[in-house]
Amino acid sequence: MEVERTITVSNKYGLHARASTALVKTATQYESAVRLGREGGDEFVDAKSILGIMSMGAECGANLCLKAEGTDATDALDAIIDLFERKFDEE
Amino acid sequence: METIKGIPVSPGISIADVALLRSDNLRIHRRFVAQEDVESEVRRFEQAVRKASRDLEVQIADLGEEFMIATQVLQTHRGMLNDPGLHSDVISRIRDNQFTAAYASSIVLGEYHDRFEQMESEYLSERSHDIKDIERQLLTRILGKRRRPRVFQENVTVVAHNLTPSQTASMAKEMVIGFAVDVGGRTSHTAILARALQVPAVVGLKDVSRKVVNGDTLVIDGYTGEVIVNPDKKTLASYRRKARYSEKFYSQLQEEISWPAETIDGHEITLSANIELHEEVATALEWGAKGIGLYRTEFLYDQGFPDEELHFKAYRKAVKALRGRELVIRTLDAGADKFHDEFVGFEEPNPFLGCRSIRLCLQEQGMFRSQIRAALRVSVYGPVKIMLPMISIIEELRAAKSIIAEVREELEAEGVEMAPRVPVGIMVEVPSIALIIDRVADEVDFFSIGTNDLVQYSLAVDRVNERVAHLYQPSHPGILRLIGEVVGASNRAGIQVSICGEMCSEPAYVLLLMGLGLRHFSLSPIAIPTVKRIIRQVTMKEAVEVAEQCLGAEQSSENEEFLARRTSKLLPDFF
Repeated sequence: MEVERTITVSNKYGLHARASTALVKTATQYESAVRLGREGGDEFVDAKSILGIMSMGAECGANLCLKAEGTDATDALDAIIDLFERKFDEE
Repeated sequence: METIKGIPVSPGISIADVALLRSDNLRIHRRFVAQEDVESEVRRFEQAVRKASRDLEVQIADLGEEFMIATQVLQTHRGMLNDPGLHSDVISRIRDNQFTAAYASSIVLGEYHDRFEQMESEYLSERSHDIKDIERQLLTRILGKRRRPRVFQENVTVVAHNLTPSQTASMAKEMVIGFAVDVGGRTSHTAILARALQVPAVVGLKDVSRKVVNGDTLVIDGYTGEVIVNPDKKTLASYRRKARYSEKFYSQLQEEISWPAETIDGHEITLSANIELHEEVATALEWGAKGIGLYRTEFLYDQGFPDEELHFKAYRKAVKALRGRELVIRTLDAGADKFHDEFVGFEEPNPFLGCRSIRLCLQEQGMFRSQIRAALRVSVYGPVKIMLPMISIIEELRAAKSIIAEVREELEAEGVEMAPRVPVGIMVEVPSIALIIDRVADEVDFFSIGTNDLVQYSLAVDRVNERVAHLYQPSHPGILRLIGEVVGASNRAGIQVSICGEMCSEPAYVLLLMGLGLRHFSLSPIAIPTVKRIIRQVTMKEAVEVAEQCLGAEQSSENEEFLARRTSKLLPDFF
């Protein structure tokens, strides 16, 4: 199963070290392969790779596209979107 | 004695002996393994990752809760070390190229390092140091080397090329009272940790770790970013005084920083900051600066002639950090001092009167044009002004302005976006131009009085020369007349005049300069709170009386004494 969603980065510091660590932690709990990239772009990184995520340099306000592929794809994206919406519990 | 300038990242002053921390330089050579050994090399890598990861866990546990920030950093490192992308990259290098685990790791991490280093965000570009740190830890494990941390017996200042977060935190728990580091910026770990631990620190010092040896005495000025190696007696005494004063003064200061710089009778003085590095913008704003009134660009020429992109990137960072506040970029003002021979390319018998500053720029137009292109390009991100130094005849101003106009047309033709108007002004620092200031006023958008050179050229005194330094008296009635003339002519012409020399950072001259009609000061960031405290305790009427008395004096020594007395009442702690 393949699922795709979009999300806007809304935490103050964007995908910095702490947020990226949290994202990897969440993504790793699922079996599905999760990738993310800038909306409209064609470069995607592994959501289980902190180096990949940080090297995107996604700042607050950036629009991202999330793709998951696997048996628990929907659950994985739900959990990740929730994390973004909670602003990574930063504020 | 030598003074090195870096980025102040944690305030305070420390005076202590140097403990030099040598980073072990792990040199990894290009080595291959036999085809049949490839899989055991892969296992060797995987084992090293596990060990290094465990090392980090031990460090995290050792640090305890007191060092939250360091702990978070180390958690991130652990995440990076266990990154599946990193593992598969390294393993495929081992399998496909038959590289050793060490060589494959250093190649892959080297690529990540470069990718981060080139990123535009200062924060992310600083993360390249984290990659280096992980590389070091991983290689230590692959090569089977371990080191013991150092323990200090007395208060020391740690000097290093770079410090890892765990090093910084564990040392600050010990006897370390200051940090001086070659690399890094405001968001480097050393910076963040030093601030959290309230230990004075200066980073970005380039080669301090190669300039000092164990046992040298080091002064760290975490306010200005100056680091003084083996200070002479006089300097040491003045820093001891500054350390005592600043502790008392700056601890009371937090609330005053947001107060306006306004006299009792309601006259506001705009206090902007002088900076040398774009990283200083944040510090300047923290001390209450309203903008940057003088951005000295000479540091960009540190490693040879910078290209347009280097100028552009530095200016853009400054403009963005200012978030809508003004940035005055001064074009290259090199010559006459340490930069002289490199820039001019030949020795001059009298460099102070030689081919320096704008004179050099008008002769080396290619270099000047790159700087102007960058300044104009950056104007699209926020308010920018261009300031030309050392103008001594009006033709120089006209020549520079016509170059600026040409560069603008060139950029327009290329379709580059710019602010519709970028004001151009001059430094008033050569007496000849101060004396015909009314005629120059029609051709510029603003003036800024550079007192360091104005005093030096008017009094014919080199203040660095000990035998004549006592003659360097900024309150000489002749200087005051010149300043008064410039202010008067600017007001009549309706253009802004400011002062950006060291004179306005000196508490003793604040009242005097206000009384001469100056309403815009640009000073070193750290001096802003002190100067503001004076302004808030006086009326403009008093300031004018002080100026009148000084203008009427026969000797400047009278003035110096009078001003010191007058100011000591306002700042009892300072004197």
